[in-house]
Parts: sequence; structure tokens; C-alpha cells
Amino acid sequence: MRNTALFFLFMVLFSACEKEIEIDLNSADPQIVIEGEITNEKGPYTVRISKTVNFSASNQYPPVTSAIVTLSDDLGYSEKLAETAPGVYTTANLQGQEGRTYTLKVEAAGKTYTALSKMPKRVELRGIKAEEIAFGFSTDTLYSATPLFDDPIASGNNYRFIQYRNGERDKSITVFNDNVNNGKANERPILSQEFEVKRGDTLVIEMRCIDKPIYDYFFTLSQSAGQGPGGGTTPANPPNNITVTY
Amino acid sequence: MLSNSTSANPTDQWIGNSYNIKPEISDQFSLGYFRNFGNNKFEFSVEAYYKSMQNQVDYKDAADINTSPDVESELLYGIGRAYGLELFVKKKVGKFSGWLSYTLSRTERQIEGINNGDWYAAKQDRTHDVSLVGIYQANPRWSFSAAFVYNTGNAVTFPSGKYNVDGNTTYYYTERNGYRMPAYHRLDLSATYERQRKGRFQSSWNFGLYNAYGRENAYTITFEDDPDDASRTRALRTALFKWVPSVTYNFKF
Repeated sequence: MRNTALFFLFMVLFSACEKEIEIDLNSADPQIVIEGEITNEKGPYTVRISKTVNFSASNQYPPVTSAIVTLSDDLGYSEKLAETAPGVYTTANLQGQEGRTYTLKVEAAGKTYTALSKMPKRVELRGIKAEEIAFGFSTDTLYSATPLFDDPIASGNNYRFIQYRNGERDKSITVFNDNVNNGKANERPILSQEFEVKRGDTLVIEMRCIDKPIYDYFFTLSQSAGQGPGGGTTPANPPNNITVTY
Repeated sequence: MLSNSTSANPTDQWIGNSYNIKPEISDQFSLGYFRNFGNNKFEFSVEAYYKSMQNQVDYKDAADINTSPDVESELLYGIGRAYGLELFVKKKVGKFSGWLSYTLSRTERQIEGINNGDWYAAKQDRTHDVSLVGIYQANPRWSFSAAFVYNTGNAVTFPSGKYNVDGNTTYYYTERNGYRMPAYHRLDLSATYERQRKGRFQSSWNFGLYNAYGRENAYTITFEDDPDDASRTRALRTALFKWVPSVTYNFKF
């Protein structure tokens, strides 16, 4: 029954075609992009600062050099990061700990950027369950991975998953929160279009417990890219946790 | 109606009114001139209108339309206006008949929180809309017709720049609905053969060609890294139909 329905869908679509086209897109003033992570694993940690480029330009993002980058935590510890490569600022002694709130301060191009992020308590990833995908357009048998972990009873847990198949990283963005399935063992698989996992592949999953502003950021990013089940939402720049002072 | 103006999957959704979503209200003013020519062989009209709208609804930037338990939390409200000029001419009698219509219009909205509170084009805004239809009755059995339509594409939000987040190319957006999909146009041709009437039973065969010159009208446009060249990104257009021939048998009794 399902196969018949899919067959008809195919028949309707068979005359559709995809083609690369030239589009005239506007240029925008280059915007500063700041990205950095602190994890509970051993440091050093990096903060990367670069600028946006026009759509038609090559994917080389100019680094922002000679910025003053400071990381501090809520216990009074503070460290200035050294620029180890153009646009890449690295910590020396800072060790990330669960439950701490970290503040990033960047002074670049005459402006100050501040961000706060709290490292959540660690939730253990017990294992991975691979299951056959019940329906799909491929002729091979494909598998999806369900990360096995127990969501804590308190609400407000957010997770991000990064998959690697035979060493190759999945480009799509997967985030879960506990609006659904709070306090229970996770049964939700990671569904990622175009990331085909077949029998014999080695699959590695990295689970990151994140705070809500970061969940909102990555969730919005995944929606804007059209990866949501409804095909995405009105594109916009994701809400981020960085504030600017001039 | 909620319109999702992403070009990757442009969807519309109807939603009922609620305590937060007030009924949309509009006031329309129009002025027109209607005239028949040549002993009623030709019909001509020109009409201009202005419409002001209140309680307009649109998604806020980066709305969550899938898992948000209450879609109302993703909406913002404002006003809108639409104005335009419609021209129409029709030849009603003779072997050759048909009509031509042209509309020039603008539909826009202003909602606090979207596009910095500036007026922006509604997704459905169509600057130009042309329809041309011609019908030729060759003899009592055969008639031929052609229809040509042209309209400006939907207003959509395309990227104006790009950057990299965690290894993925990410796009930077500026104005809401500041871009247009490519223009939509197509030509349909058809020929109809009326068969001999038998008592009350009348039938005809129709042979048609939809999209006669096979224009690949864009259904969606998506932006992605070039799979063959990691140093660049590209725009990918998906078109649905090229030529669609048809044969129809009609009957009535």
C-alpha cells in the first residue's frame, strides 16, 4: 500500500528537474562572526572570529585578527586568549566544568561583544541503537541511529548531536530538547536527510548537552536551512547569545 | 492566512481566528471606466483600486512552525496596503475572439518586529500580471485556442551573504521578502474537435499542450554548497513541469 502511494508520487515528480541557476544577490556589509565552545573535556578551547562574505564569493572567510578575547567564569577566574592563528584565539589554562556560567568578551573593530553561556550538567550517553529506516526512496537498506540516554526529570535539557559515518561528518544540524519525552529514556532517532548509513558503516555520535540560547540558535539554523519536517521556515538570522556594545 | 515565504518550500496555511489572532479587516476603494466599442464587439475596462488592511498576520523572523505547541507565539501583527491598476480588453464576436488583461499592483505590509518595522512586500505581491487568450473558430467542428500568462515571481527572502558555523556554510539575511522568484510565464495551446451531435448526446475531443515552449518555471530555489566544488555555493532551482500534452474526451447529455 505504501509502495503504491510512493510510486504515484514518483510518477507525478518524474518530470521535475533541478538545475543550478545564476541569481543576482545583493552584497551586504561584512558582519563579524564569533564562534567558540568550552566543553567539560580537557582544553584548550578556541574562539574563532571571522567576517561574512557575499554569496557569490569563494567560501574563504577573512579572519579578524588582533581582537582582545577574554573568557571568564562565575567564580571570578578570567583569562585572555592568545591568537594562535589568524582569527583563532586559544585558551591556555582554562578547564571547563559542568554547572559553571562562562562569559566571553571580544573587543574587535571598535565594538565590544559579550556572550554568556552556562554549561549544563552532564547527561550520560549510554549507547547507540541502529534501526532500519522503514520507508525511504533508496533501494539500499538504510539505518538511523537512536542515541540512548536518560533525560533528567527536571525540564530544560537541550542536546545537540553530531554524527560521523566512517569518519565523515554529517553536515545537518540535529538538536533535541525535553519538551517531548521529559524525564524518560530517549527513543527518538536522529533523522538526517542525505546522510545514508548502511550495514557495515562505522557510526560515531557525539552528544553535547547545551543551554537554551544555544538550542534556540541551532534549532533556528536547522529550520532556516529547510531541514525541518515542514520544509523550513521564513529564513532569518538565528537569535544568538551575543550582545554588542559600542 | 499564514504564508511561509521561504523559497525552499513555500507553503500557506489557513488558521482560524482566536483571542490573539483578530479577524483581518480591509477597506477597499476603487474607480473604474467601462466602455463597449464597435457596436458591442469589444469590451474595455480600466480600474484602479486602493485597499487598506488591518490585523495582518505574519511569522516572526525564524519562527518555529513545527514543534511550537502554539503557533500564535510565532506570529506578529500589523497593517497592510494594496493598490493597483487593472486593464482589460475583450473581443466578443467573430471567428477570432479573445481577451487581454494586465494588472500592475503592489501589496505590502508593515509589522513591528519584521524588517525593522519598514514596509515590505507581502509574499503574494505580483507586480505584473498579464493574461492573453485567443480563440479561433475555424469551422463548426474545429476550434483552436492559445493562452499566455505572465506574472512576476513571489517575494522571497534570499541570502545576502554567507559565513561558516561549526563547519557548515550558513547564510546571512537582510531584508524580509526583498527578492523575487524568477518570473512565471507559460503558453498553453489547444485544439477542440466537436463531434456530430446525436440527439441529446454531444461530445468533443480536445488536444492540448500545457507549457508549449517548456519553460522551467521555478517552484523552489535553494542555496547550498556546490557538491562538486567545496569552495563555492550555488543556487539550485527546482521546476515541476515542462511540456504536458493532454488528450481529453468530453461529453454531455
